[in-house]
Amino acid sequence: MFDLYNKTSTQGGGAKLEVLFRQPLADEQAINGKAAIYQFFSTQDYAFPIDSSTIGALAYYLENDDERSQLQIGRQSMGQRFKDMVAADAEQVFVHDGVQAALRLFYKAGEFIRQLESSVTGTAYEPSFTKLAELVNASEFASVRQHTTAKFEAKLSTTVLVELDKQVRFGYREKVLELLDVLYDLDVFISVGQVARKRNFHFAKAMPMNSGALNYKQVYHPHVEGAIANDLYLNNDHNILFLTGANMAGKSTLMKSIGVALYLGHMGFPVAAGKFEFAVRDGIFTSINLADNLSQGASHYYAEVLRVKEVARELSEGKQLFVIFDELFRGTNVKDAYDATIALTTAFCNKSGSQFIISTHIMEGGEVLQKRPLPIKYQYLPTEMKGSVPVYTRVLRDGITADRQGMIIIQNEGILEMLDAGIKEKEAQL
Amino acid sequence: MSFVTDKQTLADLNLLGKYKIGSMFNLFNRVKTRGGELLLEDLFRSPLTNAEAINHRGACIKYLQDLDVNLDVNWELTEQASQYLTEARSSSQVASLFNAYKEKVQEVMYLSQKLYVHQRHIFAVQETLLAASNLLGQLQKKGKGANNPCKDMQDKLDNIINAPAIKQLKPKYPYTIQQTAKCHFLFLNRFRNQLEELLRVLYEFDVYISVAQVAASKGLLHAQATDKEIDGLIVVENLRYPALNNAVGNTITLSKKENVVFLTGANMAGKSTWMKTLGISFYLAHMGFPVAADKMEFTVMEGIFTSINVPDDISLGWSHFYAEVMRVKLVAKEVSSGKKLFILFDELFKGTNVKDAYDATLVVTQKLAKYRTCAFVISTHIIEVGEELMGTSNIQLHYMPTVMKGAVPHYTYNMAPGITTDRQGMIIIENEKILEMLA
Repeated sequence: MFDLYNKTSTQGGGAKLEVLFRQPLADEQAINGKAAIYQFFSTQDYAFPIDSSTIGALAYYLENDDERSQLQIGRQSMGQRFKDMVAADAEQVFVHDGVQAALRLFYKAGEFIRQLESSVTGTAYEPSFTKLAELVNASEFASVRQHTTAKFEAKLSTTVLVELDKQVRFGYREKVLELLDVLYDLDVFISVGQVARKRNFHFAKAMPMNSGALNYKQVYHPHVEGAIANDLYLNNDHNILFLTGANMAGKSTLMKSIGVALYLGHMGFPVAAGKFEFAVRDGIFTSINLADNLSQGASHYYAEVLRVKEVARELSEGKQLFVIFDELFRGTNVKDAYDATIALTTAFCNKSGSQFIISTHIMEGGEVLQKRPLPIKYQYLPTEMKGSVPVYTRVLRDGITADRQGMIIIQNEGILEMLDAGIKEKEAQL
Repeated sequence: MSFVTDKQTLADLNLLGKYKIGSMFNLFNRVKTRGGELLLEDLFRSPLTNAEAINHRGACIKYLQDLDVNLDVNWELTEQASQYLTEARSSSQVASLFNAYKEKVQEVMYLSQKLYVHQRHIFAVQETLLAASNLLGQLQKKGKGANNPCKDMQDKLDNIINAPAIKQLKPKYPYTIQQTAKCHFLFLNRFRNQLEELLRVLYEFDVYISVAQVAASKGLLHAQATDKEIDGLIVVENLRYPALNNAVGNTITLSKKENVVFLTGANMAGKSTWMKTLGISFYLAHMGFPVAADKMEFTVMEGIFTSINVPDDISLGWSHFYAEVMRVKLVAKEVSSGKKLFILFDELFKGTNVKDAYDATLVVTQKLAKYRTCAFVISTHIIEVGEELMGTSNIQLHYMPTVMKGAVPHYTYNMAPGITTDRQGMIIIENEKILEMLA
């Protein structure tokens, strides 16, 4: 997902984006505030004003905060000056490149601010924009601004170069770093906005936690080409989705797209859905591709049980979560899986503040649950047969599936015929 | 004819991989040369399909293990020596001498390193020769004369080391220019092929000694291979997982009369580990390597396929079940082509609903069982299939038992005949107190 959204043009922007991915928000106002900014950028076709080499050069230059690397004036001997004429030394080149990068950055940022000044007022981007404008036009940077030019390199005397180096790298260092930070933010805004526009993603709406509802309209998986969209509605009265369906009917993909949308929603990011409203959650847990952990001596089933335990502990602490369990307890025998699925699903019903999606191929468990008055929604992904070839519609339907295409797949692959033919050949040879 | 297997099998059995924890390659890798390491990897990639070759390699390793010889050689120096032997051949003694003087002049004129590097290389070759002769000394001193399976290799070493021109060579580092030139000519022209041969033999000894040392420290035993048409396919007694120290052993016989083992058992009872043990031991035995058992005899087969951790392949859009079906299809193709194979299926068709898994496991097991020259181990948690298979003459039913101590399940890891009735799944959930947490 990170790759999908990462259209940033600077390294710092990429790092910022990663931080956002690692720290989703848990407050609906903060989420909606972020979303509004991204939404503003999705309507505008801005390009990031500063090229990556300039901003990269400046960041590299600022990394060196050793005072001894400053250039000295006055103390230059004739011999030193002659050397500089023949070939500039590395330190001088370093300072020169850094200062020139700073000048280019201020010039481009200034232009960007002038262009946008009128159109940004009153939009969600205004606070961040104002901060950017304040930083670029700060009185501290008066002499920096004075030397900016439209040319790639400004002509600077050594005295001016030394003075600017001192200001940018040492005197007002904190301010420059702050400015870079604001620019990285801008980079992320533009990147995310661009993805929303190009992929036609929509922005989710965060609701207060106690509303307890998840309302997906036309959600799909952004990585699947020609993905088919589905609707899903869970709330406090129906907090569990009991999902069944044949293999390859698309259960796992659907659950992933639902989980991904919720996670991205908590970052305020645009999601692959027509419309999406969600109650802010304390967390999300999924168990879709649980790996065996043989080196720890845990079998697949035990790994699943431990995972469920982890979730149960979080729930018992009163957290309101969104939980996805794909093919729960597939690592055990049928009788146990059946008992365990029923027991756990029933137990989850008590946690009406949290939402669950549980998929299983033990359909018999669903049939038992259906007879009880529980807040469970039963839906399935159907399989239709065209002759002997199964076709998957990938659209959710109410109920529990009775489709069993496993044997048909085996027959389609011709495995049994292959084995029969081999035996016949052998007998013929004898 | 080569031994067939595939990537999935190698991964299931955790055979290859220098940087993989617990891989069999790592278990046996105590080699002291880079060449030995490459050779070991090569042996792992190409198990043998000839009983004579398998038994011969086994005998060599066993012989070295009994003799308790050591290879004392420097990793860097052998590597340098082997690199040196890739250099251009000097055409004559005169040319070699001229070249050495030229390099000396270059050294004086502009600090060229060529002469120095050559001398280091010559030193490396001499050290390698010394190590080889040390090994030869041990072999001759401790050797038991008759019945020496390593005789060929030992003779090769002997011939090269004791060639008069090599034996007389006694200059010590640093060399004079004449000495450099002489060695240069000897090593790169006259004895070039012999030295290459010597390194090859040395690498082979290196690997065998490494394996012998592991066998001695872990108490491993050599399996007996045969390619006669006999009934027994795989006969093992007290076979254990080689990397574990206190592993529990099991005994089993797979023969043409009973070529299928149908394995059941609770989770964590050790089904997968036992199947991996069988697969690994079978593979190692085909390399002529020792296994952790009290006895192992086997008919040489043509390949092994396992399906123990079939991964989902989401990028291809395959569901778990489909991945399993494709795996079974691949095996069916190989089996029906008439090859003699060892097949291990763990929890077959676990990715589908019960009804389908039941039907599919039953019919696939029944069809596969007809191939009497192949051996199969199939595990499942669909116990009902076992009940249906009961009474088929060539299918053995076994299970890994669970013993309850109060409310806590204990696993004996000792395979027992029959079908399990243990169902500890719910007990594990109760022990973890998950339902109480949610109440």
